[in-house]
Amino acid sequence: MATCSVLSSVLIFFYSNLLIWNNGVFVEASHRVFPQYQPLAVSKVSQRYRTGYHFQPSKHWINDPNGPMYYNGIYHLFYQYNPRGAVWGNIVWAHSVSTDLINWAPLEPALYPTEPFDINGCWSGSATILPGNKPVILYTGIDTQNRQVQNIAVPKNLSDPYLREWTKPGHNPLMVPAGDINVSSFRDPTTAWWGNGHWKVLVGNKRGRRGMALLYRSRDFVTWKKSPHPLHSAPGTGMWECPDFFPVSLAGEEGLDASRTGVGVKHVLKVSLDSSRFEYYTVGRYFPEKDRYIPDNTSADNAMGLRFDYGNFYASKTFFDAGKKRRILWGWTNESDTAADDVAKGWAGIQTIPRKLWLDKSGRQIVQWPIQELEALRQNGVHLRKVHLRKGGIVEVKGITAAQADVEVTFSLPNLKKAEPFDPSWDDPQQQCSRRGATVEGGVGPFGLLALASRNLDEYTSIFFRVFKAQDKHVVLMCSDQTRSSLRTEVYKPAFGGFVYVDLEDGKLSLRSLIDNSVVESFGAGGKTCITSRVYPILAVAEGAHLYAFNNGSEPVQLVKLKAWSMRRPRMN
Amino acid sequence: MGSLGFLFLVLLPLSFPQLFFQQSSVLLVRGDAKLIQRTCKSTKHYDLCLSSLRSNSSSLKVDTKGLATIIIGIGMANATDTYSYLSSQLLSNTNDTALKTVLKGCADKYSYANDALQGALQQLALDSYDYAYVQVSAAVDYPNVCHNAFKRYPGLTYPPELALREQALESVCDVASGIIDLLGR
Repeated sequence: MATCSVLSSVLIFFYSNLLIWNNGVFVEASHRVFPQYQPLAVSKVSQRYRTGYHFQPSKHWINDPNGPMYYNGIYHLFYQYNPRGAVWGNIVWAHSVSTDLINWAPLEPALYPTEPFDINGCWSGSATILPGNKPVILYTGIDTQNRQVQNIAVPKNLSDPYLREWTKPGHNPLMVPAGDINVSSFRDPTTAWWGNGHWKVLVGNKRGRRGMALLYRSRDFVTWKKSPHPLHSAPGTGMWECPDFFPVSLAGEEGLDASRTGVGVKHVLKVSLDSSRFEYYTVGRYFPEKDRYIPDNTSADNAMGLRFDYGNFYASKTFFDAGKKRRILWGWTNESDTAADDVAKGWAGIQTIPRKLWLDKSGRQIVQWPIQELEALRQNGVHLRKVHLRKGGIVEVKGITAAQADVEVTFSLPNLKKAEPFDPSWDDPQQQCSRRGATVEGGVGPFGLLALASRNLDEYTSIFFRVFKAQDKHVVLMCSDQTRSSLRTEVYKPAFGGFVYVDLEDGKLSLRSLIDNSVVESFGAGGKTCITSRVYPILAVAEGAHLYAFNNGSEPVQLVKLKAWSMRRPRMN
Repeated sequence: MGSLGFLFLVLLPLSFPQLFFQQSSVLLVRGDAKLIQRTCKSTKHYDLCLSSLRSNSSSLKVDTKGLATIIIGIGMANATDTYSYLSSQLLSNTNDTALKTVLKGCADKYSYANDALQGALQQLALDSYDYAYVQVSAAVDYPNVCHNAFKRYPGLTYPPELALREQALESVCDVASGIIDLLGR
């Protein structure tokens, strides 16, 4: 007993795989717990660092996006929320609605602990629209014995277009951790899909260090049986949180309903890795008869694999927007300042801008792009054309509110032959970006943008490319570097990076960045590689923030065109 | 005479090695019999485990991984045999369409169980014990899926023969899981 309490107080300072001493049972959770901050209700919210157009409530802590759906013309987003403080705890399903995914109105919480099967927590889950246009929520509840179980909730009143109230049927829980399933490693049910006479759902799990996606089947959405085989698993990856499994079309950008299979369709399986706090996905084939998923061999099936976002991005979830036939991705971006900062400012956590998601023409990766509705916030557009950037060249983008902007730029690279050779041992893009920041000269690159930059460049967040030569192709590295983002020493300032798998036949590279006070969301090569960064500048705030394009490579690059807009505020909760 | 006797004593073991090495191979046999006992004690069905391993002569010469391999082999034989049984039942029951559907489904399940056990063998060979366990767990479950299929058709009775086979395969797989669990530690 004594050892346990010493252990828990030591563990409190670590970031992942936390054990909470809760009613006599250890419950493994994936969040830091700060008991000393829990009872502090927020009286005043600091507006500094709050975003202008990203999803966040008016105050307090948020984490995973839950049950996103489109129903009768209205988009719903639920999310993990602490109504009583700016750190994780007292979690409920908060609820907001929108007609355009940009302007949001808050409603009362949809789910909060009330029953034996969720009395100790209403954790993450997904929405499914059943035949007859009936939405339901599947979610993880923490029951009286502190076991993770999967429950269903249904709208109390289907004629309420906002679906404000939800009830929990008596036949809950639907799925419990039976047999040798660890009661603390059994959570995050997906949207259900239908095939071969059954509804099917995935639940995240692990056995030892093997991450697993358990599959449950039901004929009637009431009785659920575990499938003998997991849908998929991978060794050494640890607990699989927030699994997401969905079909993508082989042709075009259209989204597909979760139940689609067959010709012209591939599947994507994404998991969030509890042990490292980032995600990875594979593209592959789903075999409905056997309910097995086999990834194509085109990317790694482990933590070195492809990611939707190589930055601060976790617990992501997609949904099928039947209105506009798109698959849309939400992701949670947490704070990189300290917990004490969060308590002091009274809020923590944002969601990334909803992104349309589709399969790249190559069939080997996913592409994402901010939803088009975002462009309605653009104002005061400025253009730059044909700017020659020699080594050390820098040009300011004036005429926009640089702290709250949307910028798209295309660079042309005339001297690709002069690119440095790529060392095949450079398999960790984040490491490469950490080693060489924006001021370190390269051959072709670094070139890109300096966002949230102070006038004297004491502070800046750099988003840039480096191009290397490999045997018969080029390797492109994209970085979103926060190391110089703030003069504050106590905030977390990593450099994030990802490779961009693009052939440079036309010698051009594009970059889009959504800049929003304390977040920069960047999209390389039309959305092939995405990186989200959180920053907390002292100088580069409000009018003190500037936006530049730059080149520090020995080879000149041409800024072919740059378009930037101020972004106005939508209605945000 | 004394020295000759001494020589004899020295040379005897060399000329009749079997007498002496027999002694040590008996010790070897006891050692492995102990391993089998220890291993089977960690499984759900001690007697089944013992009798299954004893029916295979190589069980005395292998390590724990080898014992798991033998048990899985028995499971595969079980599953394959049941698949054949179901296929023959299918052929001889041409009238009842409901029964045909269920039998076909069951045949598939026992075939999947066999595939899972085959996969477990491959994973064992790679020392991938956690995955081998997952495969065997799947093999345990497939017979039950078949049983459930019968439950959905009130008019059909679950054949006692099939019930026995289900039980047998589940038990063998449980034994295999128990042994693999030892390897994983």
